[in-house]
Amino acid sequence: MGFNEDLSRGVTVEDDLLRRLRHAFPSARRAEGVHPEFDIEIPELQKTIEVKHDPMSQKTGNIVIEYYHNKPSAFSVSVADYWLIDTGDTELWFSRWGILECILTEGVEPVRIHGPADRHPKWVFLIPLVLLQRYSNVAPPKPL
Amino acid sequence: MAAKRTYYPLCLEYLDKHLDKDFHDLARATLPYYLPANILDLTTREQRRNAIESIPDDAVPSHTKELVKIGVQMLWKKERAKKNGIQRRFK
Repeated sequence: MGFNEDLSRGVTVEDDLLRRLRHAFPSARRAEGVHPEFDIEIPELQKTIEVKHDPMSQKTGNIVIEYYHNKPSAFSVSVADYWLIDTGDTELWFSRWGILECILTEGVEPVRIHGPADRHPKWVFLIPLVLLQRYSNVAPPKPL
Repeated sequence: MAAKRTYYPLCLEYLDKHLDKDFHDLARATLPYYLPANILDLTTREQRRNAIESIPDDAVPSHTKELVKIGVQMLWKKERAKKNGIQRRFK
């Protein structure tokens, strides 16, 4: 999948989540501009969400958690309280620390990948979906 | 290997000496995932605390200290739970 297609599908997932969130949290909004620290903000809860669309995980069985792409990126710079990983098939909710716990406890090693559409290689953790699911430790945000 | 070191300044010193400059940023971004297990191996709480405190608040990437601190706490809790579980089984 090319970068643009990947991006547009990711945006669709974010749009869908925003639409659902706004039923309970009308002020929920997308982060404006270049905002790698999080994707969506819920002012009512003072919580933020990182949304990750990873349909390739259905084929590979692995979720890609990126942390370096020519500079610290994604997991290295995110401050989001929640991470939503959409596999195209299912949605998994994590706290940021749940993902870190999985990486550290399971001793997941960093891997270098170079996508065809990427100018620079990425450094990522390839985490088996079945393993990461065990650390899915939060429920989606609900009204207080 | 820099990751075998526990004190952040020593890790950076090692990277400076042994790694091509082009890879320094990558190595720094990778350190938070190796340091917690090494810090946990230190023998006293004070040593562990000093190792965490050796990371400057403005280290790059920006959340390095937080990631390492939380990482050490997580591994420590996990290890303690494991030990308590084993002790309970033999009571």
